[in-house]
Amino acid sequence: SPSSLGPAAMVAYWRQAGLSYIRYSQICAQVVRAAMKPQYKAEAERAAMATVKTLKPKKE
Amino acid sequence: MKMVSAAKYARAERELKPARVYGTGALALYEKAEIKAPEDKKKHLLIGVSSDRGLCGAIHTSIAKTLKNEITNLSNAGKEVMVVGVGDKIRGLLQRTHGNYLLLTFKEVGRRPPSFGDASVIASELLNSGYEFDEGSVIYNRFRSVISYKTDEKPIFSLETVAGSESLSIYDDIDADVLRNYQEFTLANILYYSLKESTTSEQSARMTAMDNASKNASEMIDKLTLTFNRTRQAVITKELIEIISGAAAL
Repeated sequence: SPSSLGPAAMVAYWRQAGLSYIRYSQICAQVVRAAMKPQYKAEAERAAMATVKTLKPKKE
Repeated sequence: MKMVSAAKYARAERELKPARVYGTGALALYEKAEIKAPEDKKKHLLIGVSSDRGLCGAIHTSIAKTLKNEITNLSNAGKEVMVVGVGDKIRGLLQRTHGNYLLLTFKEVGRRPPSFGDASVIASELLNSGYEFDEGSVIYNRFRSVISYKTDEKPIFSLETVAGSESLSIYDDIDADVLRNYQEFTLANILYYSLKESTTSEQSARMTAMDNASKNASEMIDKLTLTFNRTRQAVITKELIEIISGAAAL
């Protein structure tokens, strides 16, 4: 776990809060998109849309 | 039928060009540092990347075949294997014979072009699945040209494997946190790359399949038209013969 590293280790604040890097960069990207000008924003949001759905197999 | 998938293919190929960098960039570290998992590592993960939709030739079956072979090889070598299927077709092809190896499947793949968001979702689910794999491979169809694709395999490594690799000491400023961030991001990158390649291969295969189907249908129509005309003429000739021989008998 990140908090069990040596004294000089720099653990990012978001990692300490429990986020993965993927989630962190997703949130950053969302913020950037929200700050875009309206004419570019819609296109960016459309391109970034995730459509995939997860299926966990039923445990017998 | 070919025209519809031609339009989708053109878009997929256009989006593939900038997407390739993500994959090659992410894999560059593994290649340059020559990272290899130690032989005694037990847990293996296979990710088969395909889609939900059919009518695209051998796209899904080639992935499923490679997956099944890998499962057999790894099981015989005594390793524990789990499979993740991206695309409903993979689930369908593996469910009956190798259903107990399926860790997760993803659907709604192939309807719209894949985005980095999709790759992020898949990577996050993998990391949260609780299956601590030591080593893994992503099996996808690499796009070569309009008429050809090849089923390819790219490696993924766990954090412990990379951190424990001896060649990593030559790199500056790598601590465990940086490496962990990089590993998570690399997983998303490799998945994004394989999704983009797979989609392009699938659309090109579908174009070929639709084209072949149209050609076969036209051929069949021509052949059947000839048979129809011949039969029609034969019936007329038979009737004529009956009439003439009937008239001759009077």
